[in-house]
Amino acid sequence: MGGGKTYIKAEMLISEICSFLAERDLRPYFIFISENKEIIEMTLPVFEGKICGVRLLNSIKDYNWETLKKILDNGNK
Amino acid sequence: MRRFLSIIDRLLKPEETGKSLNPNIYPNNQWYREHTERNFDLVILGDADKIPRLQIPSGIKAFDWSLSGQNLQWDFNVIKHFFSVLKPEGLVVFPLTDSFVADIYKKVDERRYYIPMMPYFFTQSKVKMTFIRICKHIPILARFPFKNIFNTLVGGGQNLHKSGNVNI
Repeated sequence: MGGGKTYIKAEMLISEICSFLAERDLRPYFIFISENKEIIEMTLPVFEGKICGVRLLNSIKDYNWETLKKILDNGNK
Repeated sequence: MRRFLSIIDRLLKPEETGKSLNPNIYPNNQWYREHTERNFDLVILGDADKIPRLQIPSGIKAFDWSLSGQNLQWDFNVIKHFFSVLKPEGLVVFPLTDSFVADIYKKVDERRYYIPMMPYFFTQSKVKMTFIRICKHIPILARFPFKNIFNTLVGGGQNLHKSGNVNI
């Protein structure tokens, strides 16, 4: 049934995003916000081996301008 | 008196905080052609319902292209078309929440993965398919390779997307 291959969606998407942006000299950065540790552990393997920045935040309150500013400054150095 | 005047002055001239972040701008082809300003530092994507908008201080050239209900696939489609507004080594931020986990183990069909998102591409592919459908119903035209005729008329249309990857 069917002809097309199936892929795991998120992993394929992330690798495509990373390679697309890296080719164009841009920096992809994924900020994963979750209070659940189990969900974070499930999510981490998806980003392994990809050329991208990843930051895990425990709370939505931590997602603010200061966090982004640090990420932005690290790239400029 | 001076304090009173400063308060009035503030009321008349609101602070420029977040001026660079214009939430009303969401990119499309028309906007891209009309606005020639480039070299932006930062683009924020993601779901606007789950992640709050940030007040970015003036002086930093940034865009918040987050939209309510926007998933990672749509994020990629937006940045795929408008990445050139960013400067070299510009930062693209993808904030993700718990809902992203639902996508991790979801399997998708290869053919259904590439969907033309932008209206320009969609319109062009729609015109092409309509042309082909009309040609099929006319016996004289059906003999000719109408796909090639259309491509020569439109010019370069075939380069925008491979025929196998388009779902209408």
